[in-house]
Amino acid sequence: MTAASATRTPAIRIEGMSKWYGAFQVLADIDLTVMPGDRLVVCGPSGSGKSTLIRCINRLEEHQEGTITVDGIRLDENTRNIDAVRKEVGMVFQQFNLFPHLTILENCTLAPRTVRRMSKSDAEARAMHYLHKVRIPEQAGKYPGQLSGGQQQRVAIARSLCMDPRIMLFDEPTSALDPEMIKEVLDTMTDLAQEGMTMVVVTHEMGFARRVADRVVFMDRGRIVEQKPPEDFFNAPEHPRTKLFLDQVLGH
Amino acid sequence: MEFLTSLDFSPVWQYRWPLFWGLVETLWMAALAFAIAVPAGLGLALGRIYGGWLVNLPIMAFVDLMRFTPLLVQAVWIHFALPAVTGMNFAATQSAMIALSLHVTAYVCDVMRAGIIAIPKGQGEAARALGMKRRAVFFHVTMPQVWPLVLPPLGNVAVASFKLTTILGILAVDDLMKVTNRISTLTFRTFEFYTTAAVIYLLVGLLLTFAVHRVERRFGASRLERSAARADRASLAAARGAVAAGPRTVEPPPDR
Ligand SMILES: Nc1ncnc2c1ncn2[C@@H]1O[C@H](COP(=O)(O)OP(=O)(O)O)[C@@H](O)[C@H]1O
Ligand SMILES: [Mg+2]
Repeated sequence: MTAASATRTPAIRIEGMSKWYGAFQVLADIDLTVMPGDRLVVCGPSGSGKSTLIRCINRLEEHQEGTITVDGIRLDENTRNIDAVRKEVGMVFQQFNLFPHLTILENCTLAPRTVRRMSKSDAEARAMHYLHKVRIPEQAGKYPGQLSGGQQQRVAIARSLCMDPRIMLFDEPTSALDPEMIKEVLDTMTDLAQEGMTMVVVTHEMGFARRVADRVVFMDRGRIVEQKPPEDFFNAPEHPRTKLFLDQVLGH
Repeated sequence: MEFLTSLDFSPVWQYRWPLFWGLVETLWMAALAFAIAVPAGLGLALGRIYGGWLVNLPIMAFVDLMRFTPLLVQAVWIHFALPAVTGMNFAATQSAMIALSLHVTAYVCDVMRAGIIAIPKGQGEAARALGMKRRAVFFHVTMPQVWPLVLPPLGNVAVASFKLTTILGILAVDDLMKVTNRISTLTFRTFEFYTTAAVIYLLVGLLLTFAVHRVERRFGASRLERSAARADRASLAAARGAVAAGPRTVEPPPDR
């Protein structure tokens, strides 16, 4: 990771990016730079385009204007570039999206085996390593349906890590979880951040943002309204919409 | 009373071998048509789902044509009209096989399509985010979850294609129904021979259904628990019901 932070190539560079669904503009003129090792938290009201933005970074959605460059690779129609970017970028979803027909271990070995052509034993050794890391090695033989939500989400993180990503995207990873399971997932993410992983996290967990993020991005109606270090973001928000949002999220 | 006392089933035993070979003809035609229809129907379903409108429209037209015109007419078209157009001549059995295969393919296409679209989008997205290519996603993520879902409706299609063979006698095909028809006109024992045939169809149908249930027990129900679609009752019902609009000879298994 130290090697990565020494280079000055941004992990993610988005310039003048816009996206439409038909006539509806979801993302407008997005500029965003993420350096290696950065931990970015993206927040904003529901429907503001947070998911769409991070899904553009690994091309689950395509953008129509502007450029997205990941680790020096330009994201366009070129399938080879898309494949290359997906090898660098891991993603964790709100709904976990584990493969229900495969065991936890198989969930973690499927991509390394089919994409990286890793041998079964190598892939399994690596999977066990990461399952240890997310603290559920004992669940390896079970099926996703037999695990709690928090455990499933940790498996999803381990599954992504098995592909050795340099960047991890999280789309509201704790929003589908019962309150008592949120902490175990956030702890796993905090560990990952401490190891220097480049992370873009869409979340409403403002405690996590304060502790872990080095920058918070606020989005509204498809635009980046404000981006600041957490202290400034929480203590001195500039934009009225940011203030309103913070009141709603932190208030009560 | 008089009718009952006049019944005489003894000629049935006398003609047991023609009847047997008729049954054999029926069984292999149904089996072969089904074996062709499963991969063909799957292919068409993929075209329906992933193809552009240029692929999509012809497949939709084909499926509707097959589903909403009688198999009997299709068999006649293929045997008599197709040679006139293409210059190729088919033996009656070949024409019958082509007609039945195409017909069943249309139903399999619908079943497969319903099964594939019942798999939540997040599954493919997670796999692609991991860097998996479309082919790998299809074979390792999508299809293993589709099979347990489509097994019950596919079983219905299998039983239906068995019963649909009775129509193929319109061509010079010696299936069980046609053999029954010929013998009954020969012996004037119409009632006895048709009843015998009905009992045979019933027994084979029950046997097939039983076999389907066994396969389902083994691969369907338990695996269904591990399908991402399991919570999605509506899509599941759609997958099961896809074949219900068509020829159905058995009730779908009760949801448990
Ligand atoms: N596939 C789609 N087609 C049309 N509109 C969409 C689609 N996906 C999302 N949207 C719309 O785009 C906007 C942004 O959605 P999203 O990125 O999911 O917001 P967020 O994650 O911030 O809640 C919403 O108004 C949503 O309704
Ligand atoms: Mg979202």
